[in-house]
Amino acid sequence: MDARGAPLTPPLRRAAAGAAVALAALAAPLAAHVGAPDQWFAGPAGPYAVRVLIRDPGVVPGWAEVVIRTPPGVAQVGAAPFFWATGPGGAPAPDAATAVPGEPGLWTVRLLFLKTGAYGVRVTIDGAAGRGEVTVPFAALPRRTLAMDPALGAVLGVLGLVLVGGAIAVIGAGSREGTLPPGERPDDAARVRGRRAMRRGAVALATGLGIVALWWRVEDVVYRRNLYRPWEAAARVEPGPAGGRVLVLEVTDPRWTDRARRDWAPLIPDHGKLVHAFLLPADGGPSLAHLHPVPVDSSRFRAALPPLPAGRWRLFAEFVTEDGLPHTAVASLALGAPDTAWAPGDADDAWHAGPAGDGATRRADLGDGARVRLVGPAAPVAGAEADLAFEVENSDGAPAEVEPYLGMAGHAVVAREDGAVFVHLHPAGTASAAAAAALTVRRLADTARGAVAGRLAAGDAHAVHAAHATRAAPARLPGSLRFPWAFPSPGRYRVWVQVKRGGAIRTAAFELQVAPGAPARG
Amino acid sequence: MSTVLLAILVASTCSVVGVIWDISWHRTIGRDTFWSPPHLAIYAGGIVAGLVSGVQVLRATFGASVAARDGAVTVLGFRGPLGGWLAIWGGLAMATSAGFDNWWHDAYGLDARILSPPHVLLALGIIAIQVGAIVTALARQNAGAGGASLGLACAWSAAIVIAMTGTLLMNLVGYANTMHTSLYYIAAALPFPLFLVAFGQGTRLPWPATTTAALYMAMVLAMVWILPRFAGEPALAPIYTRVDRFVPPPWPMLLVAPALAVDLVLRATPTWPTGRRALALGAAFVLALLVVQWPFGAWQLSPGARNWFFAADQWEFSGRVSAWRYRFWRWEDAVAGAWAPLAFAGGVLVAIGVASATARVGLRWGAWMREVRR
Repeated sequence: MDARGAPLTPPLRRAAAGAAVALAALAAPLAAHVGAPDQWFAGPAGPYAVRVLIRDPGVVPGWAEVVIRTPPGVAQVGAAPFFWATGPGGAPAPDAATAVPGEPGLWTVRLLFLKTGAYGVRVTIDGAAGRGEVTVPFAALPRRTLAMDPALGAVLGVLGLVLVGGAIAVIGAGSREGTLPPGERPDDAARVRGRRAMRRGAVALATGLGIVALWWRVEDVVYRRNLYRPWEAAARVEPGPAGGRVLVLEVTDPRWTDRARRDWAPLIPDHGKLVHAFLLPADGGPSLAHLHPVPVDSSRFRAALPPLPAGRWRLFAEFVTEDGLPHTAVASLALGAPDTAWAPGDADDAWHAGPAGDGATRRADLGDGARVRLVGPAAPVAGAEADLAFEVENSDGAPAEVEPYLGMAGHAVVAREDGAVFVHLHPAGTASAAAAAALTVRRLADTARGAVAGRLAAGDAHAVHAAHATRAAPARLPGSLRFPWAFPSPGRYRVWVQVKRGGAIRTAAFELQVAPGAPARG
Repeated sequence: MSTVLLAILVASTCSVVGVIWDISWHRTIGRDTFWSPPHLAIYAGGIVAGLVSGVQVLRATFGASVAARDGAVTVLGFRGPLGGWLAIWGGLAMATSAGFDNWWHDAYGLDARILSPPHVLLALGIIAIQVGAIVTALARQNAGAGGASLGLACAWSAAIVIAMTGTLLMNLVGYANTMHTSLYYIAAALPFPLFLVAFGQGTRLPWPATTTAALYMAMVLAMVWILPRFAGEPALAPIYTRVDRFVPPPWPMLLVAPALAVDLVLRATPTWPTGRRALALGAAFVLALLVVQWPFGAWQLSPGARNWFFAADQWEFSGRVSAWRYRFWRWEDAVAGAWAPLAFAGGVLVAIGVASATARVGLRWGAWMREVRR
C-alpha cells in the first residue's frame, strides 16, 4: 500500500511553452519557502497512501499541474481547489485526473488558480477501499514573469508592422477612393485627401501605440512589484536576562506590521510553534540551529541563542497565517564568540555545530553512538524527483529507532550554499500542517480575523489534520526517513536531518552537489 | 441582399454574440481555454469575414469582373472593397492578438479582465470587422440597390458596434448601480453620440438612430433572456456565489430614448452650423439618457426587477457580494459629501461637453457614410 517510494515526475513534462520561453532574471529570491515553490505532500487520503505534487505555475491566475500517485486498486482520482476565504465550501466540482498511460497509479490534472493567496487542493480518491480525501495547501503567488521569446517577438513584430502599415493604407484608400462612384479614378484632389488622411492616421496610430506601450510598461512594473518575496526582517543578539545570548527577530515587513492591510491575517502555530527559526552559516558550513522564538510584542520574537560559533549567519524564520499562507522572513546577523551558557527557551530548540557527514560513506554521527546514513538521492539532478532518504542506524549498522520530534519522525532542512534555496521538509512533504488545518476549518461566514485561529486553538474536530496527527504519534518510530522532494536548481546544497533520540534532538549534516537537469524554473 | 453582405453580417453578429457569451462564461464557469465555445464564435466571425473578404480582394484584383474592380479601392496594389479591407485587417489583428494574448497569460497570468493590451488589439480587430460590415452595407445602400432591407442591414451592422462598445464598457455603463453617478453619463457620452449621430445620418431609414438603438437593445435583450436558459456552474475557486445558470449581461442601456432625441435634432437642424448642431446633439443625447436611465437605475435596484425579464442583481460566482449590490455607486457622495448634487450636475455638464465633441466627429463621419460607395 505504501506508494511513497514511487516517483511522481519521470513521465511528465513541463508545458512545452515553459521550455520555449526564456526566464527573465529575477533579483529577489522566491519564497514561502525560499526558491522552491512546488508543493509536495505524502500521506494518507483516507485508506490510501498518496503522494501529491502541485507544480507552481509562477503566475496568478495560472494553471498548475497536479500529479497524484496512488496505490493500486484506485478507480478514480479527482482534485478541486478552494480559496482560503471561502473554505472548502467554495470549491467547484472536482476535476477528474487522468491516468498516465503506462504508469499505473500515476494521475495528473490541471487546476486553475484564479486569485493570489492560499488555496486548499482537495484530492479525492475512489477505489476498492471506498473514498479517501486529503487537503493539500498551496500558495498561489505570482513569482516570475517571462521575457518574450525572440522568435515569437519577431513574428508578432512583423504582424504588428503589417497591421500598422495596413491600417494606414486602408485609411488612405478609404479617404481617397471610398466615396468615388464606381469606375472613377481618383484625381489629384482625392490623392491629396488620401495622403492627408494617411498622415493623420499615422499620427493617431502612433499616439495610440504610445499609450498602449506606456500602459504595458505600467502593467509590467505593477506585476513585478507584486511578485512574491520573503518578509523583510531584522535579527540581532542581546544579552539574556540571566546570562547567555538572546536572539531577537523583528519582522519589519509592512505586510506583517501594517494591520490595516486587507490581506493581513494573524499568526497560527504550526506544529505547536508560532515561529520556526533556522540559523545557517552564511559560508555554507554544516552548523545549524532550529529555534522557536516566542513573541515579545506584535512584531518581535525572541529565543535563547545556543552557543553557535562566531561568524555571519543567515536567518530563515517560518510563519503561517490564519489564511493558510506560509511566510518566510529572511535576515542575516553576525555572531561573536560563543557563550557557553544556554538554557533553551523551548524544549524543542536544537542546534548543531558538529562536522559534516563523511562524503564518501555518506554517514554522519549523531553524537550518541548512532549515525545517519544518506540513502538517497545518489546523484541528484535539478528538477528530477528524488526523495531525500535517510536511515538512522546504530554503530554496528543495525537499524535504530527515533522518538517523535514535533510530532514526526524527523525534520529535514535543505539550503543551497548561496542561500537562494531554503526549505524545511517533513516526511509529509513541504506543506504546512497548520495551513492545511486552517484551510479545512474555514467557512464562508468566517469574516472576522481570528475566528479560524480561535477555532483551531479550541481544537475544532476538523483541525487535527489526518495527515499530520501530532498527538497520536507513538513513542518510538522506525529510523527510516523519507522526505518527498526534488531539488529546484543545480548547485551545492547542505542538507540537515534532525531526529530525537533519548529525549535530545540530534542533527546530522550532509553536503550534496546537484547537477543541472531539465530546464526548471527558479 | 448579396451573399457577401450576408456573410459579413453573420460574421459580425457571431463575433459580438461571442463576446457577450464569453463574458457570461467568465462570470458563470470562469475557466477559460482558447477553445471555449464563445471564443470559437468570436474567432469564427473573424475567419469568415476575413476569408470572404480575401476572396473578394482576389476577385477584384485578378478576376474578370469589371464591376468588382471598379467598386474597389487600392491597398498596397491590391483591389478590394473598403469593408473587405477592414474585415481583413480585423481578422489579422485578431490572429495577432491570439499569439500576443497567449504570451501575456504566460507572463502575467490569465487575466480575467476585459481590458489588457492584447485584448484591446482583439477588440480593435472585432470592431474593424464590424465597421467593415457597416461600410459594406452602406456602400450597397448608397449604390442605390436594395431598399429598406439594406437600410436595416446598415442599422443592424451599426447596432452590433454599439453592443460591442457597450459590452467593453460594461463596468461603467452596464450595472444599474452606476446609473446615478455622472461617470455613467460621461462614459456613455464618449462612444454613443458618435455612433448614433453618424449612423443617424448614414443609414437611409425614416428613424435611423432610433432603429439602430432598438436593434441594439433587442440583440442584448435576446442574450439577457437566452443565456440563463442554459445550465452552467463554476469550475474555479473561489466560489463566493453559487450560480447554476449562465449569468446574463446587464440589461441594455435604454438607448432608444437618446437615439430618438438625436434623430429629432438631426431632422430639425439640417442648416445649423456644425458646432451648434453638435452642441444640441450632445445636450439632447445626455439629457434624454438621464431622463430614462436615472429612474430605470432605481427600478433595477428594486426587488421588482429581480426576475428573468429585468435580470437584475445577477453577479458572477467569484465576487464577494454584499450590501453594495443594492446601492448606487457614486463617487460624488464619497468625494463631495453634501455638495454631491452639485458635483453630479457638474459631471453632467462634462458629459454634455464630451457628447458634443463626439457628436461633432459623428457628424463628419456620418457625412462620409452617406457618400461611401466602395
